[in-house]
Amino acid sequence: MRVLVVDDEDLMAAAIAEGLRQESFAVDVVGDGAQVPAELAEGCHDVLILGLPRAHGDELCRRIVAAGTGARVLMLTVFVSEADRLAALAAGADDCLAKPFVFAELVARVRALGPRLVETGATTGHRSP
Amino acid sequence: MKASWHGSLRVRHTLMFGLMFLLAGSVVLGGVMILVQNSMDYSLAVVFARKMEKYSPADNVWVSDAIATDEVSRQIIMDSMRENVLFKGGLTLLGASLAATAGAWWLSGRLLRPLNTITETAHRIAGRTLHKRIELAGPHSEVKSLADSFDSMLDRLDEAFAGQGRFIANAAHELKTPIALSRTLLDVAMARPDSTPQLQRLGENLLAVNLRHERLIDSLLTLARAEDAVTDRRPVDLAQLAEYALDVTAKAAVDQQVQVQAQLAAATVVGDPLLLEQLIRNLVDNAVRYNHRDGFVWVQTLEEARQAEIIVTNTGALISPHEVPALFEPFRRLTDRVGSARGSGLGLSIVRAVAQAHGGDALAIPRPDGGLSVRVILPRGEAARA
Repeated sequence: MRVLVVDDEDLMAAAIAEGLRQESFAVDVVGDGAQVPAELAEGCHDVLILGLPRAHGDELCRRIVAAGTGARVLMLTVFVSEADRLAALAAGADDCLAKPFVFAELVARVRALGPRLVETGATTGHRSP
Repeated sequence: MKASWHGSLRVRHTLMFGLMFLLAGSVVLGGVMILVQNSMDYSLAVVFARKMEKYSPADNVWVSDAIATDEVSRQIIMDSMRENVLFKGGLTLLGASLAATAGAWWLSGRLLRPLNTITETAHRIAGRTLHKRIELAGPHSEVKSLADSFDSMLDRLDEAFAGQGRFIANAAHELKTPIALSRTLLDVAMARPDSTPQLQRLGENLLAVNLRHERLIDSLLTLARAEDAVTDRRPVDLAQLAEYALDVTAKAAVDQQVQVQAQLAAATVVGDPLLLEQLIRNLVDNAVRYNHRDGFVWVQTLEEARQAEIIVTNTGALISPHEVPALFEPFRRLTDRVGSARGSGLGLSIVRAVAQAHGGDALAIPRPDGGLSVRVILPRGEAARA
């Protein structure tokens, strides 16, 4: 499956991309939130990892959900309080993970968000990893 | 909080006014009494003390006799006057005093109503929300200007608190972002298939350092949040939180060969669940961490009519009473209590800050044969009435 990563820290985005590739995901990285809608419009991403500061991230998340690209959104940010987390989910995020996080947990959550793979039928037409 | 009856301004006002009225009325009554008596004395003397002229038939003339007075009638008239003035006047005065007192009660109630509004608002604001204002309506008066200055003070407080809240949020973000970055870099680097054992070891060490930074920042943020006003208040059972804290530290206790004994009775308080959980976890963590091998930890929660308590006692190094205040200061560790720098140095500061934010306090008493007993007292507040 294909994952789009956006983070305001280039190093962070690169590290996440590398880690996910090691787990055999197809990963694209954009350095700027503004490029996300265009990238998603191509419609080939299953999951978007959104690592932007809170206010900016919520706003972008709303726009992406409104555009209806079908990509699921995992918000990745520093949550200061419970209310922040709820606000992120209210903005339309499918899941959220607080920075700093354990990388294995990110991988697990991305997998959970992706299309469900059917074990028996190897040829399901999904871009399976 | 309601004012006690003898302290209440309204009662004092009313009593004072009624008493003054009675006193002034009595003086007037007394004065009237003296004046009436004087004037009647004079007029009765004229009426009753006249020359009695008698007709003498022998001499066929009017003979002027000695002055005759009718003492008895005079006395009767004077007595009746006195009785009238004193009794009826006194009764009237008493009646008027009662009416005046009732009037004073009503009037002082009206005058003090704005003060009551201020008090009620202040109580509603106390420790919960700084957004409410008194906004006293009406013409400009002493009380109105008090309310207005109170409002402007609240404005400034609100700003200060909001500023602190913003600072905490920003600091959290700015401090945690680089830590998240290094953590992810380490996680990914260690998962590389070509990573060497040396790199693995280095990564593990760096992860441990990173974890310490994470904990320190979390503790600092908790401390800052605890010193802020507690805004999220819910009924919380200390016994449940203690049980959870004991579960979390169970492994550490086994590693340290420390025996934990708990005696948990339901103890409900109204407060911030996250902060109270942190409080209890810090207490239990400390008790396990600063212990010796084969030591003990005793955890007890109890509930009284007005307060709930949690007492955590441990065995450990000897602590002298003069060292106790330092235990509650941020970043002050007692060197002989701490083998390594595993803690953040904020544990008991957070405990005390959280307790005080909930209107309670934390006290520590060293045990004579080593170790410490920390007692946190929290007022039950609304939980006691529920």
